[in-house]
Amino acid sequence: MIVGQPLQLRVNGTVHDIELEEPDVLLIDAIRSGCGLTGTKLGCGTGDCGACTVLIDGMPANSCLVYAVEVVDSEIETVEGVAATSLGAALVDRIVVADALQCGFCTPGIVVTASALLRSVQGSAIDDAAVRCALAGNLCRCTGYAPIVAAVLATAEVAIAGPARGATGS
Amino acid sequence: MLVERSLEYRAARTVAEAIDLLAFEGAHVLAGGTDIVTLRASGALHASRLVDVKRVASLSDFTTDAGAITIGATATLDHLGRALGPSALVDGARLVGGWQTRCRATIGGNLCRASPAGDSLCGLLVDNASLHLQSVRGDRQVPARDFFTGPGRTVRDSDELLVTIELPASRGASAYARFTYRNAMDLAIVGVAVRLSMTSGVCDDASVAIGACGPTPMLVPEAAAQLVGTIVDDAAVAAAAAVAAAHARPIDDVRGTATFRRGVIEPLAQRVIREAHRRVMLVEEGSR
Repeated sequence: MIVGQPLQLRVNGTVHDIELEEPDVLLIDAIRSGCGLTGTKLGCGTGDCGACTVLIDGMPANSCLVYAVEVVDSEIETVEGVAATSLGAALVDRIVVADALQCGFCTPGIVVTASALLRSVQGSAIDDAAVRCALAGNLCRCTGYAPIVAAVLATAEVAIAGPARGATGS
Repeated sequence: MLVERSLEYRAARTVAEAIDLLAFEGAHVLAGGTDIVTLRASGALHASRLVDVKRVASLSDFTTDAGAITIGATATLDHLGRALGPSALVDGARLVGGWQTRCRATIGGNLCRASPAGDSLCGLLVDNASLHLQSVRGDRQVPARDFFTGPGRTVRDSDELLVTIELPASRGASAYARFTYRNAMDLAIVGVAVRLSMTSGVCDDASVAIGACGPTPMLVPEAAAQLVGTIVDDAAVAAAAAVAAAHARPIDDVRGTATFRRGVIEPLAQRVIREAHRRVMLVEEGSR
């Protein structure tokens, strides 16, 4: 590909023009350095920890394993976009209430992945096993996971009570 | 300033375009990217052209025809796990990585990566799949059992694109399970897939494959032979699992010793045979 041409990325509903110095710039670098959205964290860089999780067309993906050029036709949603939805905001509140973080580095990825799960099951019940399966790719070294799972389950009860505004899960 | 880089990224929209782009020295298929990005970053894989096939719409479809299933090579493991009923292939697809990985990783990528521990590979063997490869030189069908040639190696040439995976219509049911130290985000220490078909409670056909027990996943027809003609009772299950373990050729590595793997394969094989049997009996009851 020819570099030097701006790449257009749709992130949280806004189109960002990104200058690529290499054709294989990672999506996480485009989001953090190109879009200035630093909520997405780089943990392992090998797709094992989930700290860099974003939604690509509504589905969770590790942005450290995706080249930015792969997603020019896609809608990207980062933790900033997710937390701005009523469902995302409700989840963040419950994570705080449940003490579901300590250092907080994994939290953005957990908010994004758990939001994708909550959107996908909206209106139906969700159990501990479903939360643990969905979050298996998000590592947390502080909490032991129990308060995280509790926060997601507590948010699910709210989501069942009424669909969240702004949710775009497909 | 426009600069030509040594790496070229091209996104194909059609199979014809993809195979044209692949007929190029140093070209490499890019599907989900969950392996390729890390392999390139570590220097283990060099490509001068990445041909992204995710936007070839026809490649991500499933079609079913009289019980036969054709799976597009870029169907994601997450999609496969949700769209199809239980089988060895689907069991494997659901076990790969975390949800983030399964949402990107494709079935074609998992097969062409040809890891001896790949979770979808054993299922393909017992389900008697056929792989459709296409290049500018022509088309060919390769039975799954002939596809894998070594760790990370297959019969696919670098200019060939895996287009579809074809599962023939068959009676019976299949299952896959693996042993790992953790419940998720782990690679198989050993894996076993089994297909059984039954008539009036007697097994008339069986297939057993083991993974991470040799350079490629492999069928063990001697183990399957222990099941055919039986009612898949405890004795037959034990005999088949013992033969499967005896045919395993595992290696010592960081995830386990060969001795440990041989010890695990037997109880794991018993468990998978029983699960395949449970499923096949459900199918039999449902068809009455």
